[in-house]
Amino acid sequence: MLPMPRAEAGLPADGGVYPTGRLSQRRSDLLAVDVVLIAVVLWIVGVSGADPRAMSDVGLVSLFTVPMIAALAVLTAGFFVSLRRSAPEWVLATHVVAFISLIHGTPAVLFGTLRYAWSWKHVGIIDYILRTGHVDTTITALPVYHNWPGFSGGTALLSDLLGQSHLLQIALWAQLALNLFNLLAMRFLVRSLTGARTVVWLAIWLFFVTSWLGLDYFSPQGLVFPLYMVLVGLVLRACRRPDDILARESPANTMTLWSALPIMCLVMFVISSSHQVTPLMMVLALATMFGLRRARGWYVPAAAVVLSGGWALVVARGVTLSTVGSYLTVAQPLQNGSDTLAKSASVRGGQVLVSDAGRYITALALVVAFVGIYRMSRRHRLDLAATLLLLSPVLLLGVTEYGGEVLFRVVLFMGPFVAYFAALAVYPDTAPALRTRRAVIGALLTIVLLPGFLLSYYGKDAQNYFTPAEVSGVTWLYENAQPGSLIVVGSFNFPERFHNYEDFAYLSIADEPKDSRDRVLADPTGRLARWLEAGNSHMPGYVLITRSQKVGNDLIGPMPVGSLDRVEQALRASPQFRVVFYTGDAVIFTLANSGGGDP
Amino acid sequence: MKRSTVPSIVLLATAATSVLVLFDINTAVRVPVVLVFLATIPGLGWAWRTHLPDPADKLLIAVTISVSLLVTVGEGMALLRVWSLTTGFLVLAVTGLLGIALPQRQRRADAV
Repeated sequence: MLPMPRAEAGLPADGGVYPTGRLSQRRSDLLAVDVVLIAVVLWIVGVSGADPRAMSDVGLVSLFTVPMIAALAVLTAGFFVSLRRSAPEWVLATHVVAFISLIHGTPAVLFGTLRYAWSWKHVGIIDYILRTGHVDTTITALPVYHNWPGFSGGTALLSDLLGQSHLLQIALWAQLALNLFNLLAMRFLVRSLTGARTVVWLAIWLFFVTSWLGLDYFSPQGLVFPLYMVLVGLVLRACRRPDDILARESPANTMTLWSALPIMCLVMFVISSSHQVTPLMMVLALATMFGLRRARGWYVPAAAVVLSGGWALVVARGVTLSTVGSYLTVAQPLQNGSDTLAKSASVRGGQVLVSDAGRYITALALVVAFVGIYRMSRRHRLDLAATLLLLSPVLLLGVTEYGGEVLFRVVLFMGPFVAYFAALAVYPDTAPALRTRRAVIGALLTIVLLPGFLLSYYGKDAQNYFTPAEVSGVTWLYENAQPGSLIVVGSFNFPERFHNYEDFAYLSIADEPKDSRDRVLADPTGRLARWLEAGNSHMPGYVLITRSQKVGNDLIGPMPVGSLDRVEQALRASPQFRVVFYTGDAVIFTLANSGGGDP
Repeated sequence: MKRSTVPSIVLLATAATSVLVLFDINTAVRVPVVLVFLATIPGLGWAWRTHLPDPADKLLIAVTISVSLLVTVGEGMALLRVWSLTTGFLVLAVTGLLGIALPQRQRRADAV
């Protein structure tokens, strides 16, 4: 897909003279592809036979074998050797696509079930649309998804058009597909900042080696993030001021404002109607760019404000007005940031290491990026537009705490520009072709970053993995429980609410206030029996306890280790409860004297 | 991909997908054909109008427009309570066909 004329590839700024003629070049390219194949084979050999149930408290990393580590080493070496010899773009792309496929395809293949509890919730919203043919902006259960329904509406149409029921397969492979979309979007974005091919591919590589957040999953955020990158790329290509010398150096910047504007408006509309925090980020980034005169065309940020504000105040008015007080926490950036950090306060064992790895990789990437900024400013070639885009996500801290997750979103939106400046730290784009010393520095940087990336990205998979037995138990409950039933769960870390979700009321022991939680743990049978009796006297209520709820609680709290095991044992031993379904990894109780009997 | 091949690709992919979707044919080829159609075809003709010099950038714009249209049509039907597989597909197909059918103003640089 990617070979292109040298002039378009920016090679004059980049060197890129092939060493000894076309034949030798072709041999080297084929050798590079062989290296990628070797890495893939090593990875497959290393991962085959792995049992996801055997994951320890550091998740998928605990299943890593020597061939898997060798695969990453071979791939990294191959990428930097190819970069050093100015290989064609398709060779570099092959390395990155292989990296993405190994990292993001492995959980789908190895687990065979959808990762992350909240992914299942998104499946539930799409299931609602497919069953009813509409969304309900006044619904009380998960109303946000009905008021910003872009992601679920689009995926429902995709699932419907594919024919039979492919929704869970779409969700399973979405993370790989979205990362391939991220690859194209990242290349588009960085090529709007520089014409130097080496910088472009180094930035892409570093972007994927530092994207540890796991926000690229089956979710509205996962969909709109690449769209955000495309939007910023379009703005950089079409709206730069004519006196911006650095912008003119990029051969990609040939787009006229009038050809880009309809696409920008379409993308802004999709972002505005699909997610809550990304429109805010979009407005902040564009306002910064245009307000500080790094771009021209006042109507671009105006359109962003109208579309995102209009959606929030017209279509989603009910939810916006009822949540604006808790959503917008203006002028308390430290509090907003510390709310995110507080979320990891209750983690235990290996999860402390996982949490620290995320912080380490973010801090290290930022330090390297600031080295890049320093080096470019020393050369009087600092791109202020890119610097503003790097820093503008910090403004989110002053606006919202986003359910205690705002710091993650700041890191997410800074990511592409952190990678760009980190690439410039390794290879300032005014230098000639990548020398061996710089290639070695790039490879060493990868070696330093990769363990932190793997630990932080895969480290939570012990609780993010759901066994087929667990899924079948939960499926049985959703298909057989009577609408209106109360379902008490140990925590929401299970395949939650993915079918008929609006039919049931949920109560999570882990999410209760501490006093209430402690009372349940002190007297599980008495307390849970009272909950079920109070739920709905005409319907049987259920208590659902699963393997992943136990694993999740034991690793990240908030209840003491083994709490849910003790609750399960107490219910099994109690004459007040009986088991109505058991799969080995999921057990479902109801009251022994339940009026409704078995579902 | 040459500019002249884009209309053929759009026409062929739209025809193939139309047969599979409108006649509800559930064969093994439906998933890949419909996936490729939804991910690229509605935006392909429009992306080629941008005169971006790089094929990968054009592909990205085609994917961006196609995905955005899929989202817009899906959420529009869900919000307006007019969910229809046929209508949704036809809107996407017609948008893709308009991308190759509408006359395009020649850029001055092209004429040189």
